[in-house]
Amino acid sequence: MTWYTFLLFAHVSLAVIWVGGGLMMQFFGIRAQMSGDPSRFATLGEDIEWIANRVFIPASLLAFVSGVLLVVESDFYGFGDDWIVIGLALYATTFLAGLLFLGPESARVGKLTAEGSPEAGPRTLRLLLLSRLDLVLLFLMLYDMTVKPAFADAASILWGVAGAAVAAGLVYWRYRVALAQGPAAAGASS
Amino acid sequence: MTSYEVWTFAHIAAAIVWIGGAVVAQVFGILAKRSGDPARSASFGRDMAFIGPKVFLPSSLVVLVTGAILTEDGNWDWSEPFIWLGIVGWAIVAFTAFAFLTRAMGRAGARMASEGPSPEIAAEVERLVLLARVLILVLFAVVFVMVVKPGT
Repeated sequence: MTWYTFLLFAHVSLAVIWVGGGLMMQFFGIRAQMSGDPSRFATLGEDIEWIANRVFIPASLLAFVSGVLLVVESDFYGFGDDWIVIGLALYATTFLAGLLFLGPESARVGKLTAEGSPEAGPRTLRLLLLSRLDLVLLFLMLYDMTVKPAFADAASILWGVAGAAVAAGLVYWRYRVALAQGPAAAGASS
Repeated sequence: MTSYEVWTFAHIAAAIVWIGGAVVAQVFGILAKRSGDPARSASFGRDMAFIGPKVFLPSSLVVLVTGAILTEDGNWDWSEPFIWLGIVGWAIVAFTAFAFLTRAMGRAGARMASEGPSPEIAAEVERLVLLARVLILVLFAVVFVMVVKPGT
């Protein structure tokens, strides 16, 4: 095993935990909402904040560091490569969104839900919308890392953007449906 | 973009859903246990019984099918160590998790909800969680073999 393959294993493993874990949180969120028990959702909000701080933020940072080291170690990739530029831009967007908004907001929503605040419902729906859009970005980043498109490769970029746009559209559509039904029905519709 | 790249994306995305999801599910389980609230542990067990067949099972099948397609599309030899080790690892984890673990977890969650907490159920859950962790380690070993591709 070379240093490069070790870094690649670390990079892939950390991405697995980060992205797959993010998706799993959505499923637990859906289950909590389906239960119709506000206390469960409050607990979930606290759990998500705990996991975000101790698992997702470290995993995403280490995935970034190992990715940078992979480029440094590699003889055939460079920071000017189009797919790496795209990956870095997507990473910065999703990392900052998680650190500055999604993590703290999930804790705030959890507290509002526990207090029985009427604001909790719409804020929960908005948090779900934004965290799902964040997940779409993560999978777009995975596509970028796998396909490694160049800016000149319009077809690959268009396929990736189209896939992400369809996924984002579905997420937004579910959000509008849930909003129209009222926050109380959000669980059933999510 | 080649078909090989598309299948690689699908293969890795499905593996991410399966393995990353299992890791974070473990963390949720730890938090539920730490809370000392039997109702939370029971609902965690029921959640896993729901998520296992509806999320982990389909994603594990996608991993297997796309892996087979990649082997053919990439002209890999089926006798390559990373391929047969991957298949063996997949089989161990998939059969243990879906034929036994998910059901046992659901039963334990249901018992805890109906009978209340008891040392016997707690010990059973403890054993199941330990088994799940071993399976996750096997999955990461498979990821290692896929990345390093020993013998190629």
